[in-house]
Amino acid sequence: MSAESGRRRDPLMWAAALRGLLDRPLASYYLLLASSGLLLIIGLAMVFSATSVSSYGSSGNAYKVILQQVAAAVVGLAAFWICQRLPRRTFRALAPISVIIALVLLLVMDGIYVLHASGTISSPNIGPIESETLWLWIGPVQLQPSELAKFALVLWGADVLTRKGKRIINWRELVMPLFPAVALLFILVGYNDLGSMLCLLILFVGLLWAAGVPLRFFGIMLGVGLVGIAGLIVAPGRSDYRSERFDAFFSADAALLACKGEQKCYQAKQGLLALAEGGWFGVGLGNGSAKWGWAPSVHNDFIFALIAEELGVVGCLVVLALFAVLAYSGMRIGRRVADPFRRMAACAVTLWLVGQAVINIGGVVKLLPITGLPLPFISDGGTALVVTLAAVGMLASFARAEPDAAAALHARPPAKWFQLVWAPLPPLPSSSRRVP
Amino acid sequence: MAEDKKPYRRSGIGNARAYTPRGRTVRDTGPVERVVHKATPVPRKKAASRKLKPPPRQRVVLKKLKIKRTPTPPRMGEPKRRLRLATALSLLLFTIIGVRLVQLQLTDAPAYAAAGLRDRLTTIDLPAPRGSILDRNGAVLAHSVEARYVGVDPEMVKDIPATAAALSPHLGVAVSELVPKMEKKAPGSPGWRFQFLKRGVDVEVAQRIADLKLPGISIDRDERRDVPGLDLAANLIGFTGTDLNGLAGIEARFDQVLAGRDGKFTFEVGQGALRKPIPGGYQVVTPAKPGSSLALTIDRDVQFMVQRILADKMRSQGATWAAAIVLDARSGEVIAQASYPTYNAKQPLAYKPSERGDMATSAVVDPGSIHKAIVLAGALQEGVVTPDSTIEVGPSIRKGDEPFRDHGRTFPEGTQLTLPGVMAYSSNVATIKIAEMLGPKKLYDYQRAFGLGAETGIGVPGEAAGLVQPPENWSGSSHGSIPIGHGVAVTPLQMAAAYAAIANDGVWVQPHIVKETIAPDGKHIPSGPAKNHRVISPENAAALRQIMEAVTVVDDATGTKARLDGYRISGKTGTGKEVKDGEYAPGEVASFIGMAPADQPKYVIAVFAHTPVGGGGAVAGPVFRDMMAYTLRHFRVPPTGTNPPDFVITR
Repeated sequence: MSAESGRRRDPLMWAAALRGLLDRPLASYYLLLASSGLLLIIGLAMVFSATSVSSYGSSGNAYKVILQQVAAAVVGLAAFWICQRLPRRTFRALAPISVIIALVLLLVMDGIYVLHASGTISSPNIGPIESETLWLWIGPVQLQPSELAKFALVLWGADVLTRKGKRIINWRELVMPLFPAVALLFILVGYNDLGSMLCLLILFVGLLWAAGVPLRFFGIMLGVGLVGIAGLIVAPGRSDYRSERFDAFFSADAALLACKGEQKCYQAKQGLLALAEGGWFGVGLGNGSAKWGWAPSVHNDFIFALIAEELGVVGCLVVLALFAVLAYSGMRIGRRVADPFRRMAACAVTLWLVGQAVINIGGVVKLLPITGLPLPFISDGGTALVVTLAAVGMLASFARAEPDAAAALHARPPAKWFQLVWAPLPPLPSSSRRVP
Repeated sequence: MAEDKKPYRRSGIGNARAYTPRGRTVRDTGPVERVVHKATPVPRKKAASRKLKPPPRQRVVLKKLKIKRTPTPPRMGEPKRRLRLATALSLLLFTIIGVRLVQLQLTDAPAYAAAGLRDRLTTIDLPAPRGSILDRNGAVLAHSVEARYVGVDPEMVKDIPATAAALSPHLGVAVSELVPKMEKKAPGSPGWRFQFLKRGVDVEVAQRIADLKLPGISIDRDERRDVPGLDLAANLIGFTGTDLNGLAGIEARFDQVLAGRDGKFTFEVGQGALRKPIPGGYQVVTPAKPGSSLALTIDRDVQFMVQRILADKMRSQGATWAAAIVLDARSGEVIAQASYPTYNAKQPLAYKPSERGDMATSAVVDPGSIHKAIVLAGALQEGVVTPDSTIEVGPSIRKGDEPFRDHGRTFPEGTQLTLPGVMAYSSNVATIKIAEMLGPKKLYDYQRAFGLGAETGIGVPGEAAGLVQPPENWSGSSHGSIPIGHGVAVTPLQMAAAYAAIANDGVWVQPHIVKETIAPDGKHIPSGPAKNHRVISPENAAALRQIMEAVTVVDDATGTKARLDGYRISGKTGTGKEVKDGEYAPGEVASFIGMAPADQPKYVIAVFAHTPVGGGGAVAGPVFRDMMAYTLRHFRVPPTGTNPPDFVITR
């Protein structure tokens, strides 16, 4: 009796219960599935809300864009399913290939772009391959090579760093195959897309961080990185919009609202207006007015403004909480897996998703300058969604490979058909190491 | 209690440690394995990494290099700690964003939202049509029709000559007029982005212009005032300006009633390709209030004939102006009110202002002999004379310094003239004598009682009040001139209303022109009852009517040209002067006011004409006759069954 009443009165009881739940071996796996699944569903709902009006206006079919996005989600779930089943050695084997593919695609995209811009070729395509600034059309298939590059860099970077092991405390060992390739990747991606390059940077830093690269190297890289970013921002020519966005970022909220139609402050202003319009609880799903041609890219980079308007602060906090859970579970996987490849890849994927979300949302709420980055899981965009879900699939496979999780799964294995349909049993860390 | 809590808390954490998730209790092997794996990884991992990295040679080289290059080798990070740090950093970033969201809501969010809404709002006018002006039977005299305007944005016109040439035949406006409006103007100067090319264009014509798809040419809703009758009652109805505001006549006088108030529809719109009302967005409708319509007492047909007769006769007489009024004797309703000259209400500005006025209410004249009826009415009512009285007259009479003599037929000194004789020959001498018996004070009172010297309030703007002098202002000759209608300033309508009082058995009724107001919902609101007051008794009125019949009946009387076969006509001729700027204008104002049928009058018609020469009987008499003939026929008034009495002129 006394124990019962004591338990009930204890204000930290919920924390204890939470801790108990988190101690369960498959907690990371379920948290990951739940957060990314909910984000995906919210994303599809918001993309439908954002695109139905404009899609109906332009084609007479309100479902045109959302059906494409749903198709991308189906492909993404397939990618998730595949990545969840793949063993670690396959990921490692795919790493060099994938990074070469990404580099080739980026080279083709930028090459066609440069050739077209310089007037060497009249239309921005070579045969069936067409370049459209950030996208590459191969026949009817649209690709965003920079998204593929993110995943490729995760795999390859983790693979290389794993092979190097402790040798990375040597500067030359650390730099040698990795840095030139990554620099090339940065240049190719950052040529037209500063946002994606920032995302790659965060991802790369995540890799190095998880690999245990000594702190003094980070200091050097931080300095070089800051100089590079500043150079890109003030770089003259086509990218004037970057410095304009910085102007908008540094002006006060009230000054921004006085902005009348000028391109540089318009998007930032619309973001603030949408936030104000939504209030605490939003105007209701589908009722927003920002998507009626007012806020630019409301289905894509600015979808968080639509969430703020239609679902209010509460809806925004739910999305933020889901991203936080994703961040926690991703890092937790990185912490718990025994193997360095998995640790680095998990940390890099998590930081990539978190970084992209923070940059995107920060731009909308005017905590950061606006960069053209999609919000993971939520923004409209096929390649990004497929790649994100594939990366989450890989995280899921790592989550199942946590020693505790693997042990628990082996102790009470699911039915054979379920293993066939969903995912095979993860390798037991002890046994896998004992066998060779 | 405080002491109690500590053990509890400790025991709580202990409980949490001991907490076994649901699934686990089922399994008995789980915990054992778990403990094994949890306890072993750290040492095993280290051992494994050492074992797994076989080439010790490399490591030796490395160590040597390291020692050479840096005295203190950089330390590897501890991955778990680093990942915890990264987790904390990520969660911190999300927390900062959450705080920022809340902070935005707590600061000026409502003001920002209002500003955003203002950007998205757009307003369109809901047009409220102006009311119509109808005749007594509902026929349209003036109404508004939906039309289009055609405008131009000079900045957007590509080829000015070609555009003007394409528009000219549709608009009916010369190319030379269109081109200057299309030419580019200095930015900011009036009309640099918009000019009307033509307003009130027919909808079909506008559609044809729209089909041409000329750049810079805009077409939108407009309203046009249509007057199907052109000059029909134009002087009475007046006209409107470009924005359909009443500028003259009834259009101006009743502008408040006729004008609609445009409504507003304010709503949220999208932008660019989605510039459409947002469903479920902010919407406020201020409904349009269409104007009320006016039904006049005018009869369109009578008005038309009266205008036509007046214009025909006056043109041949060389009149400068003329007015004719048809009054319903009983009700005071104006059946027709014509002016000469008149104008085409479709193009009012092509005419002189003097041609657009309503002469019946704005002309101020000396009535002349028609004023004698007022003297006689007063004398009868006051008992100064009886219908059978005779007046001793001579060829002239002197009042003040001025001799007054009779025109036309004169009578030798000492002739006993009957009252019908006085009227038939319009004897000045007799009238002055009767007025003398009545006295100036009484005459003045009757003038006022018959409505002279005050606006009738018919409902036409710019009505003149006229002027009657009170006795204290009279000079010596006034005693001679005022009774015979000189030195009195009246409007034709005032005199018509005075005669209508005689026709209406002695009751003066305010003449009026608006029969009822028709609200936009179709409700008819009759005008209030007309003001009226008794001036003379019915018997005296009847006696006076009979006396005045002599004017048309007696063979060599002044008004024989107003005779109308089959109807008994009672009336009086007059020849006066026009008062203009306080002086008499050259020319004569010939007038005839009569009523029919004389025994039971239904209509009173007054005709006034300003002609170079000529008396009331000759100029106005035939006009009166034709108008009265048409009016009686139109209203199906049966011919009078009785004959007029045989009038005795002298005794």
